[in-house]
Amino acid sequence: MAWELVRRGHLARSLRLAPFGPAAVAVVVLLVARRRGTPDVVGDLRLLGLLLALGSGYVIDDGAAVTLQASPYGLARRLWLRIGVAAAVVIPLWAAMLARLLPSAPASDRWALGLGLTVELAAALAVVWAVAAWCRRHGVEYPGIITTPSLLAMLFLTASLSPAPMLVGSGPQWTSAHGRWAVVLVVASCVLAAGMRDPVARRPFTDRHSRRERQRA
Amino acid sequence: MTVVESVTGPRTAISRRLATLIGREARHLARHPVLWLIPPIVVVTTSLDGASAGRNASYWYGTVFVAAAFFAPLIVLFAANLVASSARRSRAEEMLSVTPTTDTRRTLAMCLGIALPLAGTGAIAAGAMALIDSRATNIQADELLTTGELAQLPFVLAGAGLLGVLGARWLPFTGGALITFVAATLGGTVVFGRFDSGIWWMWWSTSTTFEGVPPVPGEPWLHVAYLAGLCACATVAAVYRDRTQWTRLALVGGPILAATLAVGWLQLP
Repeated sequence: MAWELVRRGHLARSLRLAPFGPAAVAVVVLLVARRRGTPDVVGDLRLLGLLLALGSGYVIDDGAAVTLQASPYGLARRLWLRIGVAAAVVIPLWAAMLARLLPSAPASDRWALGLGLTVELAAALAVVWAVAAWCRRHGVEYPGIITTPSLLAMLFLTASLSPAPMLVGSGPQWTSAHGRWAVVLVVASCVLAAGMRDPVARRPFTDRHSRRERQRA
Repeated sequence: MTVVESVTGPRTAISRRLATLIGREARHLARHPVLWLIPPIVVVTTSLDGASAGRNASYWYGTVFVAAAFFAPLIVLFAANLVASSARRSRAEEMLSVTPTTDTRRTLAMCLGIALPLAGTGAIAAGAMALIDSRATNIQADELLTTGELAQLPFVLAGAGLLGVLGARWLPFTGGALITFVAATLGGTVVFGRFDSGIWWMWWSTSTTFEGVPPVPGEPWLHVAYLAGLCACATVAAVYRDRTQWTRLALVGGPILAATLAVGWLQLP
């Protein structure tokens, strides 16, 4: 059924594409403006990563979810599929821009920069999706718009913490900073996994408990 | 016409109704959960910040400025957008269209209800900075803001809120707020960063050091007038958004925009 949703274009039609507009414009502008390389690889890729993450925050806004609640294809699976489709937009764009901009960095730093910036993007994506899933679970029908101030607030926090810097340039602090980004990624992924569970689906314990209650009654 | 209206006249009744709507929108904004992000983030940031020189007057002066002029406007833009688009998102526009208040008046009340409390908050922040400045002597001269620069804070905050309303009115689709935010911040940074006096054309405070470029001279009080003009432009554009009001938009908005651009030009040396 997942393949049918993708193949027939139902899923792509229900996705919000406008939020990806700024990222698409940034890709075009960077491709044109940085034809001969870039003096600031980290800055350019971070800006693009931020726009991609902000645009991806809207993928869980699913207007059809209420109508499709009764369908056999569960809500959680539908939401994971939407995230998968967003990832299918983000990953090629990110890979293309890495391939285009990373050659401007010193050869010895390319792997570290590429890996570190990809971890940053993955953490930012996990945070926006976790916020969206958590808000959705708590009754917000269109949580996308809330993800933007949440991510900006998190970035403000990470930029302000001088004892544990996270937004650093290439240098000795790069590895430790990206260790912290990896922790953010893991925590946000756990919150996302918890938030994506179908709120209607009961846990086995609750089922047993309610059956016992019914028997008593 | 009610008994009260027959005594006080319809104009007084309309302004009283507008005041009620303004109060309602202000309460709506103040209670918005997205705004609640600001105090915890500022508290956590200040408590975890290393503060190499200690938490002295200079530190608090800078902290209040960064919170009021940089962080709060980013969050306020989205909170105001959510408040302004709440009727559309909850599909209540059809019900509102049959109420005795017109869409134009409701939007005006929304603009005022969002801009006035934010301007008041900006004024409190500016007052707090002036108070710290008057009590402390160890703030470095290059960190101190002039009265004209402090007076920009209320308009920066109010402008962020009005930008959110403007986005909700003109880009009424998912992602409209994000596009408004990116266009106003990153777009402004890219476009205005290309020339020296660019900071004077943004809706930010002119005392902000922009990408390491030293601030160029200009007239801060005229920048206050320029920011006030931008706020007025945003209000007019939001109020007369409806297609039937575009003649008024041109007639009222045109002169305000011309005056704002003139003041923007005059603020430069």
